[in-house]
Parts: sequence; C-alpha cells; structure tokens
Amino acid sequence: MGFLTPWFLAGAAAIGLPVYVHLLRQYRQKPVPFSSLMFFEKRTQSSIKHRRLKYLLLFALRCLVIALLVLAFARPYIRSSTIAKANSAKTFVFAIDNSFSMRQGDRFAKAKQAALDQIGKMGPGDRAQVITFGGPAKLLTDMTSDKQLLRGAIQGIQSGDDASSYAELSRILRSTVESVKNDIDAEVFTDLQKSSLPAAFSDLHLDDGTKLVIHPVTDKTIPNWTVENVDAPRRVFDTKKVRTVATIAGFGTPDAVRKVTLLANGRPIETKSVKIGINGRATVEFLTLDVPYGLTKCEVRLAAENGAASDEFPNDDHWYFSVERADPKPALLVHGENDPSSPLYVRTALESATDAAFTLDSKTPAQATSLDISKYAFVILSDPGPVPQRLEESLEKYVQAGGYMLVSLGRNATPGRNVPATGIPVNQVHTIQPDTETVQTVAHIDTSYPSFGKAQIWDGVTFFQYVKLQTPPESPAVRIAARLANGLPLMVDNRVGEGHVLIFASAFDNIANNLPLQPVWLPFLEQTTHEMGGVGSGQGTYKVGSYVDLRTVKEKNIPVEIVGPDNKRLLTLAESAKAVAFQFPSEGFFDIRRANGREELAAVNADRRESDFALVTPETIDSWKNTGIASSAEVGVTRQGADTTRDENAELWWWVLALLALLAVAESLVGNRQMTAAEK
Amino acid sequence: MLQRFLDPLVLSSISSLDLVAKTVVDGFVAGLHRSPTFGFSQEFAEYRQYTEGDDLRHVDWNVYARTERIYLKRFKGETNSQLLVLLDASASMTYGSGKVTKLDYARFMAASLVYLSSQQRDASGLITFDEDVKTYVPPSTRQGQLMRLLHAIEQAEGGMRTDFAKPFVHFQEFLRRRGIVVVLSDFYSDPAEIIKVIEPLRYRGNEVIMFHLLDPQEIAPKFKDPVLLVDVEDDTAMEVSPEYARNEYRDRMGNHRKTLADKSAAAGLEYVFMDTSQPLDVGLRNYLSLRQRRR
Repeated sequence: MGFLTPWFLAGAAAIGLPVYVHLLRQYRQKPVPFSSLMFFEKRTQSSIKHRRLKYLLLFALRCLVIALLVLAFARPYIRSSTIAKANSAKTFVFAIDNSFSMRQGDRFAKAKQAALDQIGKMGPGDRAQVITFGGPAKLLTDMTSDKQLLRGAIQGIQSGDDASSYAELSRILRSTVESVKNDIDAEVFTDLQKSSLPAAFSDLHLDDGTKLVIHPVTDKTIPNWTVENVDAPRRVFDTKKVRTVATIAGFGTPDAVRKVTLLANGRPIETKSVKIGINGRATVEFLTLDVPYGLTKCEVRLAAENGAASDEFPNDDHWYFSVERADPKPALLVHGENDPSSPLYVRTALESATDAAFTLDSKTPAQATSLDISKYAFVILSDPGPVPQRLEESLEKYVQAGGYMLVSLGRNATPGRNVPATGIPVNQVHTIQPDTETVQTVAHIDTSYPSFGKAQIWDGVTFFQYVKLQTPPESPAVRIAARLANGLPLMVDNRVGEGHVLIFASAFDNIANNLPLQPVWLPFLEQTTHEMGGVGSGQGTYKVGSYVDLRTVKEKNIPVEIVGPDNKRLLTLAESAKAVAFQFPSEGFFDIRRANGREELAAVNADRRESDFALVTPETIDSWKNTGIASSAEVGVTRQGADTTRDENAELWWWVLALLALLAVAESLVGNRQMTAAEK
Repeated sequence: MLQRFLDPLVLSSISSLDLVAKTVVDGFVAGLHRSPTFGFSQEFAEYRQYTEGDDLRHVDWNVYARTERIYLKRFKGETNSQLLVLLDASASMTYGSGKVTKLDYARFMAASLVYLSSQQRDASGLITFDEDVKTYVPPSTRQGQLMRLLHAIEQAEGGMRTDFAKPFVHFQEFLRRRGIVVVLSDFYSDPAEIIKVIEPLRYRGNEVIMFHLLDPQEIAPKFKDPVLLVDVEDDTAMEVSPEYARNEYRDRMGNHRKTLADKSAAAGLEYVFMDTSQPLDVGLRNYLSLRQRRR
C-alpha cells in the first residue's frame, strides 16, 4: 500500500481539533454560581474525572472523519501485484521465427521442439499464446491454458520465405502486454539473425513487465553465398540484344569460385564461373536470353564448381525472374512535308533503346489519312502543320478509345487552332530574338511523370522557338509535366476520353531547340514511348510479403485470377471478384490475370537479408531484454527469482470517501443526540 | 386551581407584590373554606363601648346608625397578635436554579403573611437583613402599613453574606410586644450558632417560626459533569464532581437540616423546611396553625 500524494498526510495534525474540543476545551469549565459552598469539599478525584472523555463515541467519530479525509486526499492505493501473486499464474507468449533463414538445416524443427518443451513446463494456471514473426507477426491462438491447443498451433506452423523482424516482434509483445494487462514471459525461438534487427534500437523497446527469454536454435554463423539480384529486361523483343546481370553475394564467406547458370523454363541457357572475394560480391553478365514468345519463367542459379550445392543453405542459391517475349509494336510518326530531321531523331532514339520495343512508321499527314491508326501502339505528331480533317477525326477517335498521342508543335503550328484531339488552342509561335531575348531553358519538371523518371538533367537543353499555348484551365484531365523558364508550359498531358494527348510545345528537330542532340533525348523519348505503348507498366520481380495491385477503382467486380507456384488457384471466388491487392506468401512464379485482361508472370524471391547468417551479439540481446526490465523497475515491479508480476496501482480513495460519508452521517446523528440530551 | 395560583413560577410572572399576596391569600383562604379539616372564621370577638382615645377607625358605624351608640369592633388578633417578618436578604438568597430565586420565594411568603395579617387587623412589621439590618418597618396596624411593608419587601435585594449574630441583637431591641416572629432564611450557618442567636426571641414570649428556604438544586444537586462552583457570597470557587454532589453533599445537607430542626425544636422554635419549587401553602398553613394554637 502507498500514497500517491503523501504530503497530504500532514493534514492528520487536524485530529488535534477534536482532541482540543473534547479534552482541553471541556476541561476549561464555566464557573457556575452557587449559594454556598459550605457543604462542599475539594477532592482530587473530581479533577481526574474531568479528563475523562465525555463524548467518547463522538470524539472517535470526529477523529475518524478527519483521518479519513486526510487519507482520501493522500490517495492511497494498493498494488494489484498482491492479487497477481496470490494466484501466481504466468502469461507466456511463444514467439516462433518461421522466416526464410529458418529453413537452413534443422533450425525450424529445433525451434518448434523447443517451444513444445516449454509448453510442457507450463504450470496449471498459466496461460499462453503462440505467435509467429517470420514476416508480419501472426497470432495463431488466443491467450489460453489449453496446452493441447498450443501444441497443435505450434505443430501446424510452416516455415516461410519472408524476412523476420525483431522490431515487429517487439511491437506485438508490446500490444500483448497492453491487452492482457499483466506481465508476460516472452519465449522467443529464433536463429538470432543480425539482419533482423531494426535500424533503430528504440524499435526493440519492450513494455514494462515483459520478460524476454530467447531460445536460439543455433550459436554459429555459417558462410552463405546467394544470388542477390538479377537485372533483366521485363520484355524481350530481340533475343540478341538482351542483357541479364546477376549479382552474387557472399556472407561470411571466403574467396571462392561459383558456377552461375541462367535458365529459362528450367532449361539452362548459359553457365558462367565467377570468382567471389571474402564477404564480397560479383556480377555475372549474360548477353543472350533465347526465350520463346510469351511469358517465360527464368532463373539464375548458383552452384559450386563441381555442380553441388554451393553452401549449407541452398534455398537462396537462385533468383527467379520472368520475361515476356514479343514482337516490336508499330508506332506512327506523322511529320511535316518538309521535315526530314524529326523522323530521323525519333527513329534513331527508338532503335537505340535497350529493348527496341517499337518499329516506327513515318508518314506525312496526307499519307496518314488513309491509315488504320488503331493498329499502332501510339502516334507521334511531329509538327505536322495543318492536319486533314479526316485524319484529325481518326486521331480523336483513337485517343478517345484509349490511345496515346504525342504532339510536338513547331513553326508549322497554326495560332488560333486547337491542338488535334484536344481543346487547347495554340496562341502563338514564338521565336527567340537573339538581340533582345535570351534562350529559354527547362525550369521545372515533374519527376513523378513517367517521361522524366530517369532523365532529369535538362540543363543543356535550350529552346529557340516554342509555341505559346493558351493556359489550360486547371482540371484533373490536364497535367503540366514541364515548364520553361518563363513559366509557359513545355509539356502538357491532356487526358481525353480513355486516352492521353501529350503536347510538347517545341519541335523535335535541331532548329527549334537542341533537345535531339542532348543525352537526355534518348531516355526522355524511351520513357515517353514506353508509357504510351504500355511497355513500361508492370513489375516483373517481387519480394515475398510484398503486394501487387490487382485492379483499379474502375475495375470493380471483374474477376482476377492468381495461380501459385504449385498450380493452385490462390483466390476464392469472392476474393477474385473483390480483392484489390494480393500479398505474395512464398517464393516462386505466380500467374496473374488482371482485371484489365492482361496476363502477368510475377517472379517472387525471398528477402536476401535472410541470407546473412551473422548472429546478434549477446550484448545487444541483453540490452534488448533490459528494455522491459529496466522500465518496469521504475514503476516498482516486483521481481523475485524468475517470477515477474506487473504492478498496477488500484486506488482506494473511492472507498475511503464512501466510508467518510457514512461516518459523517453517523457523527451528525450521534452529535445531535448528545446535544439534545445535554439540553435536556 | 389553588395549586396553580400558589405555584411560585406562576406568582413570579405577577409583577405587583400586593397582587401576589392577594392571589395567594385569597386563593388559599377560599381553598380553606372548602376544607373540612380547618375551622376558620372572622377574628371578631366583641363590641366595646367607645371611650375617649379609642381609634375612630374601629367604630362600627352601622351599629351607631341603628342605635346611635358608639361601639368599637374588637378583634381577638388585635389584642394579642403582632407579626414580625425577618427576611434574609443576603447574597445566598439570590440563588435559584429556576426562574424563582429563594429571595423571590421569601418575598412571596413575606408578602402573603403580612397581607394575611393585615386582613386580620394584626400589626405586622418587617426587618430585612444580611450581615446587618438593612430595612426595618415597625409593626403597626396603621393605614398604609401594608403598602409600606410590601414596598419594603419589594425593595429587598440580595446583599452581603449572612451574619445572624449582629442583626438579631438589634431585633431584640425592636421587639417590645410579643407576637409571632417569622424568620425567612436559607440558614447557611452553623445550626448551633443560628439557634443561639434566635433563641432569645423566644424568651420574650414570641412565637418564632423559622422558614428554611432551599432551592431544589441545593437540596439535591444534579450535575452531569464536574462543575466549577462559585460561592455567590465570597466568590470562592471550587471544583465539584457529580459524584460528590450526589452522595456526600446530600448527606451533609440532610444532617444540617436535621440538626437545625432538632435544635430549633429543643429551643421551642418552629422549624419549617420549604422547597422553593413547592407551592406557598405549606408556609401559610404553618403560620395559621400556629395562630390557632395561640388562640
């Protein structure tokens, strides 16, 4: 028992008040006149009896009232640990690491067995909960005393491919302490990988009353090589021009030579040897990827020189990736009659791209009029001048249906007329006067816009001639991706119907500007055309535990389908109609048929942090354990031996006040009665 | 009904002392008429022929009107009764636990007695005293005597301490005719000394009635708690426990009264104890019974 505001106890001195009233004040008697004292005698006895407490009950009640008032202000409390001690039941949390690294050897089996052994040691009233933290922490049971249920939960745990996080474990332990409102014994079964520690130690903080007991399943670090990453194109248009780069990493490894094999659909394409330094990395480059048309499951595999497993943990000796082989898509370039340069620059740029995803069809406006535009992946209008009405209608229809069109405007633009397929008019074609004006440069680019994702160095690009567009009204359909130094829009994305019209306010030649001659030209055009042609969308490789979007907001109730590595459908019917995203649970290839009809082959790999078997230092473990113990000591947690109880201050002032009220009533009644008697 | 009029508390609400006396005596007398145990009649004795020097106030003018002879009305009391009231007006007499103090009670008694006496044409006088004689109204039957007496009684205020020796020496000088001497006091003194002082009055053929007036709280004090008592006469204070007041004091007070009664009886003095919470008829009855005996 204690007091939250003990200084109020000084008020106990007020008990002197009833003592004064009943003892001292009573003793000072009022003289009573009497006719004669001739028959009285002075006796000592009477003086002594004066000191007797006249109203003993009233005096006691008054003293108690004051004492309780003081007590209530001092806010007494008792520690609920007393109750906890009485039943001495413990609360356990069995946290089992089922991350990717636990697949090494018999680590996972050891962890499960150790957990089962701990369950056997539980007392009759003890409760426990089973969680896993190989990835996002999962509660497998409620807090229960049913050992059978706990054993079943532990036996049912499967090793996963995700990465463990001790920060995640600490978070779940904190929330458990919060919910059970009691001290917990956290029994953690893990391989103590250093890579599972968070960047900030504070993330490991445990709440008061958390006793952390770690059961390591190993005490040694093993050398491990792994395929850390593979850089390969998402799509292949020309198998001779594909460059695949694999990164091989060693963790705690000596110098070694390893064989790296590129496989497509399980068939080896090429094998190379690579020398890896101590704890080093090495890259292996494959210059061909002869894959059939369509989606192909590819893999880079690591092996020892003799073809055996490269190390004691072969699970990370491969890297999955997928490629899609397709023919280059046709794209249409409409240019002016007397403009030979822009087709040259555009074509050269497209053909120079790594994957050469498009074949360019250059036409004049007159030639393009009779073409079926819908077969083109995208259309580029390179300062075409006046566009025939029929072509304009065709272009508008093409864009409305979802097509992309890039319009560059130069000296052939007609002021007052709208940019084709848009409602944005051209105000003026402005040519820099060297005597009076300086050339314009790019002052602002929106790096989130796909065209500017990789190429952001526009410093050397100067504009001598540009088109002043009427400032488009602000709307969700219009996005200004780049501006000139004078603030005028350089590149505007105007969504029209289902498609987009990208307006570049200068021509793609080397007269209006020097863009085609600058290094930024190639990535700019490549990224822009990839966005327009739908090549750049989609990511081929994922990590275990990451999410993939399955549908947009508009694609409601359209079924999606995911087939896992074991050729089983992973979504229920309800999920296939409603699921917005999907989390990859394991390594392997996942066939995804999206709501928009596109098929995708997602290659999922384990987090390579799990490949580093370096152990957490004992000092770090001790510090981690102390976060719970040290804090609880501050609030007065009682620890005896292995027993840990969590104290909570149960305040008693309510009860004291209630008793005070009763005593006050009793004091009034008794006082009234005695006063009445005295008057009589 | 009578009881109500004789209640000292009721009488204390009457401001005029003569009215108090009338109320007491008339009520008491009316009550006596209804009583078969007491034979009481007018004190008329005989007619006597007028001789020179007789007081014309005693002429019965009715007889003169009928017979043209002058006769005087003679009363028995007139010949041999004289009432002298000795009223103790010491400070101790001002004590009263209730509304009526002992002095008030004594005044009622004195007023009633002189009124009764005057009704019977007896000469009555008054001496008030404490440690000395404070007031002296000689006994007389003159007109206005009653008013003088009542006024003197009214004026009697609590004075100093009681000292019987000094005033009683003077009394003997004043008492030239024998009669009835009524002493109204609380007699807070040694009984032997009191009797020694009062006894000489008896030698001259006076009938002496000692009315011992005590407050109920003096007779049987009831203190719930220890109290600090202060003597009203000499201001000495004393702490008194309830137990003492309940036991020893009562014994000592009882002994005092008994001694006083015994010694007064031995000296041929009439001793009447009166509780001031009781009606006044006890005192009057004793007085009248003494008158009866004297006849």
